[in-house]
Amino acid sequence: MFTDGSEWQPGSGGMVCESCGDEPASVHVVRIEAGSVNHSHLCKDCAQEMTDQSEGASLVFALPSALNGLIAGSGLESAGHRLGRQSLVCGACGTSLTDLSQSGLLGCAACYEVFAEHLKGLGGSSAGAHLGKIPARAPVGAGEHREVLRLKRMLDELVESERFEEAASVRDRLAELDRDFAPGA
Amino acid sequence: MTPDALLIGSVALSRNEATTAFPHAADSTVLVDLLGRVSTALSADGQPGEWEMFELDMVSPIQRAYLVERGLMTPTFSRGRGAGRGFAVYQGGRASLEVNGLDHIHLLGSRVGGHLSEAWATLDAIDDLVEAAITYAFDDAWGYLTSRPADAGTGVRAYATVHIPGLMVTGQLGGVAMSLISQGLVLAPLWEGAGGFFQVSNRGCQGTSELLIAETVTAAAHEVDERERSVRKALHRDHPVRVKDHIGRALGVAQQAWSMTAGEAVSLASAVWVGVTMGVVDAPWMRSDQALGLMRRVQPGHLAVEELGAGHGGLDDPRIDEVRAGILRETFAGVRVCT
Repeated sequence: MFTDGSEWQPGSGGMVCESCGDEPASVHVVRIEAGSVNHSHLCKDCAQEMTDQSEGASLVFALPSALNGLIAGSGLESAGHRLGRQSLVCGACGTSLTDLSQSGLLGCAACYEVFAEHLKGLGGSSAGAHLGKIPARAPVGAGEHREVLRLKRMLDELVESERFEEAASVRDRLAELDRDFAPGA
Repeated sequence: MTPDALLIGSVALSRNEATTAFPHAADSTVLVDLLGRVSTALSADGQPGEWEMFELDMVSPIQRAYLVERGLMTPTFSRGRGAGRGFAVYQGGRASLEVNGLDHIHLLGSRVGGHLSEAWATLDAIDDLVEAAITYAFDDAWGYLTSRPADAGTGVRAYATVHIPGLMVTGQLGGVAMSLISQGLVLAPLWEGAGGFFQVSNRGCQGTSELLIAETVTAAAHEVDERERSVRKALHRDHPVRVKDHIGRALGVAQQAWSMTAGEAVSLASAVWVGVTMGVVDAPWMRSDQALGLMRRVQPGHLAVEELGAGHGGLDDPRIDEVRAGILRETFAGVRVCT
């Protein structure tokens, strides 16, 4: 079963906090009161304030706005203004930076490269961190790339917990992968 | 961990074809071609009849509502139309596939009892099958590429449905939601929050694996459920008469009303179910699967399709509210509050 809220997409007016009007809206708050449902888009501080003030039958809960996170985290809105909104266009599908900032949708796979700078910081993550499944027809080296990421993360955790012997073995495996897949190997 | 803690585990998986513009940016000819290739791949798979395929434009509003209520279609996709939009159901509802919605491919699967890893395993196999028909858009660094950048990576969203009316009536939902957000998770209402049904789901799809997403969402949902159990215990201990009064009134209305909205029916049935879990209501047959079945049965799409049948007058048919009240009267006939 899938909720509509999980697929919520803000309209063009939802980018600035509706309470303070200063900060970018990063939380979608849904308030259920006396049987009616009200939606508002707030910055984290205003959302926290609303939550703190809600007692008894006044119910508040919040959904993070993925798109607003994208806009706020990347500076996409300001970048759109700075670049005159028309200057950056994907040559493959015709999606512009303005289209992206309004709809929150990329037009094709090539858009990821074209708008790469503006997608940084999305939801606290970024390109370069894929650790999940890879397609059978993935580009050569995708599996190794993921394995390196996985081992690096494991190495950090082992060092942090002072399990140095295990960390040394992970480090050796990383060095091995590095040798195997170095240019000319 | 309580036995009926998580009601339903649902997983959604987004994919796109590498060389084709995403649906909202593609023309209908391209979408029709892609739908045709996916349909061919599904038809060639497994036993005849394993997949049922539809063009979305041929699916009536009532059927769409019914599919959304069963968790086989997303609300957003149900509002779509146009050539090239397709829909397929796998093994009578074990999984489903939306073609050319927000992304080219959107796989959905649910399991009663919150078993997210099982739902993922089914979708994983179907994903491999679909990949035989189309080459996925994938990048070493980003992972699977989706029209919403927030879905890029695994492309997986996992949802655990929890029943938390105690946290709702005591005004603690906001705190729970903010705590989940700080863990990279989301709390969203099901049935607009009626009856205290909510879903915990992941917010991001990067820097993690599909199974880790399933584990994280499951663990967080169990934690929320434990808070709910604790609140119910405190309410029952500190306000036994108020609790019994609230539940008894809900049961009374459920047994005597002759017309009822879906929201009201879910709220009343939820209150009675809470009463059963607290030992306030004597209806031992009412466990999570029966309760959940009842909540679904009183939704408008289910009432139109399963109760009114071919003669229904659409989702606004006034008989829907009457039939719904009848179902509650029948379900709770003879049920009593323990004295």
